[in-house]
Amino acid sequence: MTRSTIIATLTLLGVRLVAADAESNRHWAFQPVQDPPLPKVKRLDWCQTSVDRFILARLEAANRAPASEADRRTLIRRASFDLTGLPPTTQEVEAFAADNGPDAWAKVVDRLLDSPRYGEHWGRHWLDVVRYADTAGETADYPVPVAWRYRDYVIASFNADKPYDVFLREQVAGDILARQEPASDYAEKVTATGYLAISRRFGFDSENYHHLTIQDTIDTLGQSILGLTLGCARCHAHKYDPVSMRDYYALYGIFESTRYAFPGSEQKQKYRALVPLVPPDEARTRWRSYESEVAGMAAMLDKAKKPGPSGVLRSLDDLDGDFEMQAPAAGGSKGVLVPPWVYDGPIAVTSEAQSPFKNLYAFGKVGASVASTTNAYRLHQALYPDRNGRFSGVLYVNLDFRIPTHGTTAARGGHRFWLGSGSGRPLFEVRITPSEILLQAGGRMETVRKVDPDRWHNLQLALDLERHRLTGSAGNPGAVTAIGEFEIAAEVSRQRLMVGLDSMASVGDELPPILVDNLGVQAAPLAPVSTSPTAFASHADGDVDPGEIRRRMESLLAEGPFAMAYAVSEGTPRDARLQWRGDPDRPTDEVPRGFLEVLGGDRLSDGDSGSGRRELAEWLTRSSNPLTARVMVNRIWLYHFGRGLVTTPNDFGTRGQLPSHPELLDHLATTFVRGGWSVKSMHRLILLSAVYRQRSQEIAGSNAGESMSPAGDCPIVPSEGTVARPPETAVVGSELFSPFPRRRLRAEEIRDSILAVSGGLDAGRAGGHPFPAPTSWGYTQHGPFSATYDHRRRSVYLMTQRLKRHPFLALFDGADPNASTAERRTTTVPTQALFFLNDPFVHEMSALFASRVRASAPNPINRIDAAFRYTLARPPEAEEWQEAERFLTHYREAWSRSQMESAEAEDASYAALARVLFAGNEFLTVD
Amino acid sequence: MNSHRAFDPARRGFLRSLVGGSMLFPGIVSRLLAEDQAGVGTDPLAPRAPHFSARAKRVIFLYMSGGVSHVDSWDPKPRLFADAGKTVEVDEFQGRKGAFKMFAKRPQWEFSRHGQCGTEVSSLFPRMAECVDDLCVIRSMTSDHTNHYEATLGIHTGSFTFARPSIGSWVSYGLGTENRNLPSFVVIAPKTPYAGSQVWSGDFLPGEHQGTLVVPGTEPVANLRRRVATTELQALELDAIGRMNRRHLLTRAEDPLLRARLRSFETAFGMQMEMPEIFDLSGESDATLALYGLERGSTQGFAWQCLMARRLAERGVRFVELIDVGSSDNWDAHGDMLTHAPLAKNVDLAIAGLLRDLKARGMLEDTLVVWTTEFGRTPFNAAADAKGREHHHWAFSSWLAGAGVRAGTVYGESDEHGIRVARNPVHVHDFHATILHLLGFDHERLTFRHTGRDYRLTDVAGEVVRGIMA
Repeated sequence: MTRSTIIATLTLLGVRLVAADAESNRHWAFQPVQDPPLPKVKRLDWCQTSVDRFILARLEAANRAPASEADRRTLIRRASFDLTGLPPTTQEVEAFAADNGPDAWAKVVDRLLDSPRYGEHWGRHWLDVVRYADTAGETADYPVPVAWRYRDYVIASFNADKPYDVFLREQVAGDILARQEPASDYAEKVTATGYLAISRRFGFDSENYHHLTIQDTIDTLGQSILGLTLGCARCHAHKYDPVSMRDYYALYGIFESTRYAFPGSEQKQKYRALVPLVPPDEARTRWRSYESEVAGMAAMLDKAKKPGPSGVLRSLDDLDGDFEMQAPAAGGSKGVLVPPWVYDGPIAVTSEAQSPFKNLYAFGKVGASVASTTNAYRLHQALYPDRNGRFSGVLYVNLDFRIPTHGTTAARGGHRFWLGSGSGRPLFEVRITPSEILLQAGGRMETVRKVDPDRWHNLQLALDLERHRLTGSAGNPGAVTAIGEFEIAAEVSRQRLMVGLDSMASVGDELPPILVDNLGVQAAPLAPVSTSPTAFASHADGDVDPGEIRRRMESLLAEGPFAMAYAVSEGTPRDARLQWRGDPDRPTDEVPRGFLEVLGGDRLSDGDSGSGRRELAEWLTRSSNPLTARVMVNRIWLYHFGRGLVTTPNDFGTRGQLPSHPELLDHLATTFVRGGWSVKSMHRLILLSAVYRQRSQEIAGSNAGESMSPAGDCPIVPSEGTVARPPETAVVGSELFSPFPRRRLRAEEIRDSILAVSGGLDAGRAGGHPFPAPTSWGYTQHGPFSATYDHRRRSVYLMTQRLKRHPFLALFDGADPNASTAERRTTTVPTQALFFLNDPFVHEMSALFASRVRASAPNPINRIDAAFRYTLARPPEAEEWQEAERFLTHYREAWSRSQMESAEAEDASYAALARVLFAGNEFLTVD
Repeated sequence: MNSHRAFDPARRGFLRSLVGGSMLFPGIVSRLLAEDQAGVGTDPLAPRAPHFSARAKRVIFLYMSGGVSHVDSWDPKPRLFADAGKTVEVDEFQGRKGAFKMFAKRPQWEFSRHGQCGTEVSSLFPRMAECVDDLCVIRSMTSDHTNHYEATLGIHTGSFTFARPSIGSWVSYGLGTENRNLPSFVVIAPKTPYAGSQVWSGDFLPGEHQGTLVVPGTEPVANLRRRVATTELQALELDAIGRMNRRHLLTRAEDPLLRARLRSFETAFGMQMEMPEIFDLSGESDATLALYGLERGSTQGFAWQCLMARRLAERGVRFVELIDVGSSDNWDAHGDMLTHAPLAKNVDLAIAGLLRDLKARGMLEDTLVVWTTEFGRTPFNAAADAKGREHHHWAFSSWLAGAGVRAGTVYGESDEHGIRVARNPVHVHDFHATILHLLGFDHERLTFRHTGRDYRLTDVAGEVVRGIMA
């Protein structure tokens, strides 16, 4: 007897197994996925797909027969909801009912899988798991106007049956993969990393709480992909699962080396650092011309002495060498510099440090200033991932700086500007003292020129990495000194290149202050130093209305030079320090970036690694990972049967439940990976099975002891005991997946079904939401963002807020936008009933339904029939027909007694019938 | 006060009158009557016994939004009056560490002794001051965060960062409800507080325990008002829904969810009947309205909220929370302490009236009344001439009254200037542990398993404060 069959047997006997293994990493879920043989069964004829063998074997072991097959109307309704979240149309029902071909059912399944409605429904499942929202969740709940791109990416991925491993790799590392793939896929892959960017933000200055955002990322990554709760390990070793604090901070370093788009917050009321959806080279070119245009407008407004709009748009692909992204950051309560910069020491972002030169960045308001100090400081960041030591072109480097005269008298040290791998000797070092500029490269050091006190200087260097030569210039307009050719090291480390500025002083030396700005590293040649923008757009001609310029400038600032996504990009790679009790202010040992010990414990290889997300994406999806495939097939099973093979879908750890059918779980996982991680193939395997096609209910009267009376005035109130506990057979039945488990519709399905059967559903996609213009944002915790945007599109397109839940979704147990939702709860509260009785939406749709029924059945005799077919996918039974008829008559009589317009009685009565049907359990449950 | 609504003869009379009034939906009414006799079955909101017997059966939680100044209200500091304008040193200011020299600021309102017990209260709350013999004033409250959002979340959920179930949801989860026609946890708030609806969210607890929001005004509960023209039309719909669902149930009898839905329509029907009756104040005497300071016909203001709280408590709602104002124009007096005056006027008489009314009806015997805010305000300021006060979570004041509370006492002390707690600190977690204890719960045992962990209101902390209890 294998270990898993022992577990299975014990579970069957009702014994709750606590993982008794001394070593919790011997826990079942961490063992390799097996390919178990199909179990032997007696009723082989019942089995339709391999799935059935596993289910039937357990049923036979329990001496139970599977339930009989459901009728066709039930089946098509079940499959339509399960795959598309919508009821079947009457035509679809009739066509299936009439199709006697052997592949009739398979045709239905294929049609549903091919429908674009499929991705909207299954995409929503994934959005539940990744706690998707359209707002950031910090104290003022800033809107994220482009979050929808990620939502639509998810929907499109399910529709395209994107292999699940690819889907995961794109979400974890799409921005990195995008650079290696055709440009036509660039936008899609970058957008995928919205998975990480939609992590929750905290506090009124969310950059001060970025460690909690990273925790939220790790928590969600653990639950959604691995089915593990990793969050506990932030403060202490996981109590139950083999996840150590070192594991946690190994992952933490990966996300700390990643730049997240910034959504805005009470303290910093503009979003910034969004990621361009065009490749970097194209982006930079378009960026420059866009910025020249903005700068030109700003200059004209300046000339007209009119204030221009504040705020400069910067993207995450930018080096931020003009420090404009830091301007709002520096206003934060801790005055921190934010990624891409890594810094230490007395550095501030000030307007005093704005360079007058415009040859690189045409527009700006601030730079970085280093105060006179005896303390060491550093300021550095990594270049783009493809700018590593293997890059063989020419890199052009620009820096503007000024040494103020005040405070330099006692100064003895200087500053060091360098570019290199960060470890070992840099490619060059420029030393800046109050008196001179020196350049050191290839073992040679020379004075370049003297420093003019209090004047801005521009330094330009061209590094030819192919010929190992460096040339350049230093000075200010009209007084530029050329730098003769230097040799640079031929052997460049393969690590990523960094650029930085730091102190160069002996202990006790006082450093002179320095102001720096316009630090740039690019592959295109630089324009000569100048105080006017190089490529000035021609706006300066004639009389232009300043108000009009301002408006155009505002819309330009809002739109940006190209489409952008709420996504992530590579930051400066570094290992994280373990935080004592999870407090970022109490760092201890550094932990190399890597993966969970129990899943291999891989570390990043030396060399040209970036944040480590590319490697993480591989580790998560390699075939030896025992969790990723199991967790996903369990989710697919769960969404079809209302119950997972593991009933704790987000927790496969030792605190989770053991699988009810461990062999089936592994069979599905194996089949999934072998089939190229195709989710749609899994649907076919499951839907074509006999177990999926079982009926949901026992035939009336089969439950001994339940006395039922026919419908009517006699209420069905079973005695207390029967209500309190479902009969024993039901409990076992649900674990054996026989009969088919009934479920209530999810919130989205309820709204979408009402819209669909009333003929009110707008099948279009939503795109973005009508948020207020970002230039008008000023949300605070006193006045947080709050809105609902109604439309008649599918509910997956409703704007979802984090702090204030959408009232409808909250009422019907929608997903939690703050934490991963593995399974929807099904609560039954009277306020839901009030919704069906009195909500304006229900009344509006029921009126629409009445006119649809009237239009489709000109002869009143057919209208009841139509109403039943639309809502319940079946004609009324004779008794129901009579009752509906009686109801309509009574309603019309009561209507005329109520002094209402009698001409409206007919439609009003059908609207009322529609509400009765909407409120019915048959409409709201899937059998 | 009848704690078992099921056997309330008034309700039976009410239900019978419905049968007599309309024969259109006898099914529903006879079921309600039948269930009254049979008991409440599997209702997740069925009344449950706590861990041990306790006097408090329900809570009225009065939350003042924005941070009420303790040194201007419940915590008399003669030295602060004496030292006004002098410098005091603190090692942290508004979240920043360092050595700060601050100026002590004189309280705006004078203190005097009140009641038999002689507890000192300032003239900010003259009417509540008259009730001190019923209060246990806690002058040593302390919280973890200096920001509204976090502190508000903390005082409601015990978590200062993440969304967690509200204290009202925990109480509902622990005790269930005494009246199935009404939600077990009701929040009456004119505006949204800091941290939004998370404040009354049930989070991972079953959905029945989330707070139902009542907004003062003409439609206090969403969809409560009948949208069809007449009761008769609605009764026809309800009857048809009931028939259809009962027929559907015939072949699916083992499904408790279907049954629960069938019944939810009956409760909704009950709510439609009973909630408007609760909101209808025509049966309240002029004397009662005057007690609260409520003008007849008004559906606004804290007086209305307080009277609603009594009426809901009377009808078996377990936890009623009243929030006086929202996340703006509140007690957050950075600019000028005098902005406390109109806010105090809005709540003072109403709360005193509520306490008196509860007492007169004998309800204070088994109702716990809690008054709190998210933090206090700095006894000092950065500028000597500043008119306002900043956020201050190191020390602030709250009070408890009613069932099981040591009335007419003061618990804990802040230092001579009201800056730090000097004696018997009551952290927010301790405050919660004590409230749960007064309701009969061991706060460490009132737990819910979620994502592999047993969660509780007090996280991993909290001690019951015996000195507060009678």
